[in-house]
Amino acid sequence: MLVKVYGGSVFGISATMVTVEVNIDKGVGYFLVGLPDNAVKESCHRIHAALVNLGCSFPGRKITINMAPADMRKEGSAYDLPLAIGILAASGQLPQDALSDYLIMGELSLDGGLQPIKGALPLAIQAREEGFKGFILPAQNAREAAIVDDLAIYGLENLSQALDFFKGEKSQRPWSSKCERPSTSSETKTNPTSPMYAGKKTSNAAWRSPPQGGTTSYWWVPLERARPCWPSAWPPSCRP
Amino acid sequence: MLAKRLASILPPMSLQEALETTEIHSVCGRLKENSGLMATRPFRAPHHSISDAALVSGGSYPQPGEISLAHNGVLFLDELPEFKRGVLEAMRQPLEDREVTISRAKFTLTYPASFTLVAAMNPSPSGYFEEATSSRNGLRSAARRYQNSLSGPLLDRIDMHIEVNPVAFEALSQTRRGEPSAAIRKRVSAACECQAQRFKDRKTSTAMRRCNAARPSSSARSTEQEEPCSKTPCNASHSPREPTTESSRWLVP
Repeated sequence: MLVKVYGGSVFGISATMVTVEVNIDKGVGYFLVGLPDNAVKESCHRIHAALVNLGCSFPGRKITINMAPADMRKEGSAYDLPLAIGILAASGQLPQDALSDYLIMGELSLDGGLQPIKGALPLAIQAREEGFKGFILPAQNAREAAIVDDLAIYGLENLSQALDFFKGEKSQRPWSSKCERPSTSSETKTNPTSPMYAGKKTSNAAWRSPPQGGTTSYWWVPLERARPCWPSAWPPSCRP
Repeated sequence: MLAKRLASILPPMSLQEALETTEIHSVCGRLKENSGLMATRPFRAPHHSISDAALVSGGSYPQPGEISLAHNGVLFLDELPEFKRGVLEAMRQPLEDREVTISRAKFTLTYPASFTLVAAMNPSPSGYFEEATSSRNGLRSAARRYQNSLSGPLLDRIDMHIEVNPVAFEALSQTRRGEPSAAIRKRVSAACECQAQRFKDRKTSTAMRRCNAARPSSSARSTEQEEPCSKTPCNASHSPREPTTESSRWLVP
């Protein structure tokens, strides 16, 4: 059976969609194509251990996985979760109806737990651009991805929560809208203040008039595509 | 020490700036777990042994370098002449264009790099200013060689040059506290708004250009940049008057 699951690849500081096509047929073997790097190739061992430890079965048939576009190099260990979900759906252990509505990314531990990934924010921006209903990712990255508006973010702790989500056994709510404001105490720790330099008059005079040429940026992020969700939770400087 | 405190007095990031900065740090995996939009401007201070690939971006699959990690923030280069010359020269284009484009055989990537560069250096290898003006030829030439390790085009891209004089022990050990960063930040934010109003059409006055171009060391780049920099103290005091000699002292020598 052929099943398609959707992930993403971070290229620069933007993301492109990656379609993970899983086909299970007669025969024996595990074939992963689409220019995966070593971390992606090693994923079969992590997936196997995670599925066995959660009580699922790793199909002992011929598994062919294509990561499209096939001529783009796939890097990193964040493809473990979409690969695992694809294998389970193609072997009939998971319903595949809702798979096309969600972008799925995450690294798996051997016990089935989810590890954080890099580039969750550009992936979320691209997911919204592509029209996905939601983004399923590790819980540690949920807050970062929740900056993007109009996209349901599901931060999960482990693979079994993902299985329950797609089986519909336990309803998962999107990541909470009640973001707490960043604490000002941590801001003062990382940005030392100037009072101790009372003696440096020349330097302070220059410091009171720092360069004001502005930080002109040539990189654009169309805000109409990715508005932060929760204006009340932004730092005051970022509020419109 | 002063450079570290610069990020705390710059105006707070706008939403657009916060989004761009968060994206770059997200791609590098530098965001802490369960953290959202970055609220503070980044401050990066790489060691002078850094390679050009790490500073600007590079490698077979380029990741954002230090200049991109300092996007919308501050990049502090301490002991500027100790950096390899090739590393410093690699910064010329990003300082001008505010972005860095990395080309490889199979792809081209562009990373944003709009940062405030703060650099610090001693006037001579020993650290003493007297060597630079010494009557002894050997000391003077050593100091001149040390300063000449920085190329003219790189110095041309640095808008303000400030001499920091030694502070007397009595002044250093006084217990009077200086002005808090929050108060300075308010003034800086107000001055930035004033600057933005002055140059919203981005046109420098003809009289100012003529005055700047008359200086023998002026390049076209420094002529363009001098007016916004020289109006800095006027913005701080919200004054419409022309720049004073104090501001002219900070400009490119």
